[in-house]
Amino acid sequence: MKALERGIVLVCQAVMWITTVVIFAILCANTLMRYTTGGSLQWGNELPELLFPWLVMAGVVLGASHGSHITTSFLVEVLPAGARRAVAFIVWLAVAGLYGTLAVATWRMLDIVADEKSPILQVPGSVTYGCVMGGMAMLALLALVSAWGVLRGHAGHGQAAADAPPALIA
Amino acid sequence: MTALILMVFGLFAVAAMPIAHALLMAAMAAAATSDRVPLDLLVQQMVAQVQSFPLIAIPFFMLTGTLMMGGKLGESLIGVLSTLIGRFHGGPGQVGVLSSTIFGGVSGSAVADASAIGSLLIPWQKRLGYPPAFSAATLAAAATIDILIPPSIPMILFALSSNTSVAALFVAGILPGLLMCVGFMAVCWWVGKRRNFPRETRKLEWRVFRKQLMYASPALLLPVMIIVFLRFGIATPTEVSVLSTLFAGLVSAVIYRDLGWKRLHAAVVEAGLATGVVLLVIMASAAIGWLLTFDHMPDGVVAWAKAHLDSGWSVILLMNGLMLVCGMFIDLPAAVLLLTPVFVPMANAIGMDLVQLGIMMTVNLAIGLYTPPVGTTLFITSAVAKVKVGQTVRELGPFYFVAFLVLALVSYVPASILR
Repeated sequence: MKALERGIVLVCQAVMWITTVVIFAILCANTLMRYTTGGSLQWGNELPELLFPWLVMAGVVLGASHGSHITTSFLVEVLPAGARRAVAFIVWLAVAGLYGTLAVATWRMLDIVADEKSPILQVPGSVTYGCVMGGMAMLALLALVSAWGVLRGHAGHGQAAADAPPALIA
Repeated sequence: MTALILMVFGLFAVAAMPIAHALLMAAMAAAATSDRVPLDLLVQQMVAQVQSFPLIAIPFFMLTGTLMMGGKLGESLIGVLSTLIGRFHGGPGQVGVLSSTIFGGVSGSAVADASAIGSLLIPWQKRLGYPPAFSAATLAAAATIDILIPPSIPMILFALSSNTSVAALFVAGILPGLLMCVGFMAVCWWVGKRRNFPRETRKLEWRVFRKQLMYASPALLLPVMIIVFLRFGIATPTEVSVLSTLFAGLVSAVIYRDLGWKRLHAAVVEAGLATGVVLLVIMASAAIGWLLTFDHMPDGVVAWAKAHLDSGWSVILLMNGLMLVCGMFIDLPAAVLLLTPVFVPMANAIGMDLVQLGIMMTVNLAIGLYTPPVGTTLFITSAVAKVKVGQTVRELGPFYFVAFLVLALVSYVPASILR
């Protein structure tokens, strides 16, 4: 389980780095070119738009792995330990079911969206949908790991969320 | 359908399921019980959010904030402010408020502000003998100024949902942000004087102060650059976010020389993770928002308001009341995305400018960030100060008073919104 989680974290961090650097470089170059040569890269907006879903899904999965997704835990905290574990187990199974179902629904759409090509680079829409599907599948996997952790008496991701620093949002 | 969505969301949210998952669970329940809503449509709504060019600004504004405040600059900025105002009544608290306002100019996230400034300032305030619960309260409230001073992530989200100009919203947020800053500083001064809080004893040495100011000047320059670039159409908000990151990286690497691989890696991962957390909420909110619109919920609310409320001010009051309740329970990005489609027609019906609505919404939902039961900045600063949330809440009274004054101003005095 630990190796699986570590693997997911490493993949997500690598995806984050690659997408951040490429988007950053393209947008910087595009802006500078506009003011220096008066032109711009034709695909300068399209490629960052195609890469952004990869950055987002890597962040979503890493957030789940770190227990950083915002949780309202004040009511569950007043429950006795046994009941709290039962609730956590049910919640994580439900999350696994949710993302498993969404991943399957997205997979069924891949053939249809493959026909939608991006205007300049002609990248099929199935690439973006595939990335979202992969993220959802990883979320389902991590939820199952959390449910297993709760069953074995470990905190799991959900429990960790209460103690972990909240994600840096809004 | 709306009732089912609210019920399922409420049930899973109180069971400690992360908010984004609970929203998606509610959307799925609605789709499962309706033969008119295929699951594919919900997936399409979700995917559409991650294909948005303007939202690419979010990770880069996050990265800018982390790079600027995570290194020597954050410490030097606080050094300047404590030298300047630490000697006055409530000085250490005022330093926190002013730091948050300046940090607001380099980051667009109140929660990032609460973590960064809280971990720098609260230990210093504790060393001075400043009451930790008051420190936590000051920083929980002040961190929300961050989302009024440009750049602001909630404003980007509002602009996208309402088709309003990001630049207009950024400019409009400056005055309420500064008013909030002055008001919170006045609260620190008044409480500090009344309860005789300890303060900095060092005298101000202008030579040292000038040196510190020069050192911290890049942080003061960045918000000005962001406004100029946007206001004069030099670059789009997404390009400005990337240029801000470039500026922050260059300043850290060349001027402060504190940008190693380790810090850069931590900053990139932190920004990416925070983006993922925000975007999942946005994806889930988009699915729910589509379902609510499909169920004619916004039309129902507008029709009800038209039938029962006869004046513009009562409609504004209703909107504020609903936003306050939502802000107390729902995450800020989700609240912006769910409430905007409902309130835009209401604002149009009473002739309210959408930029004013955006500022009113941001000020209002910001209060929810330090209001129980779900107050993110409240939880963070209480945890850093090692005090119970209840103790912090008891110190928040005067800050709520100032925040409600500013809210009333932006709600009922359109002239308070800069153009």
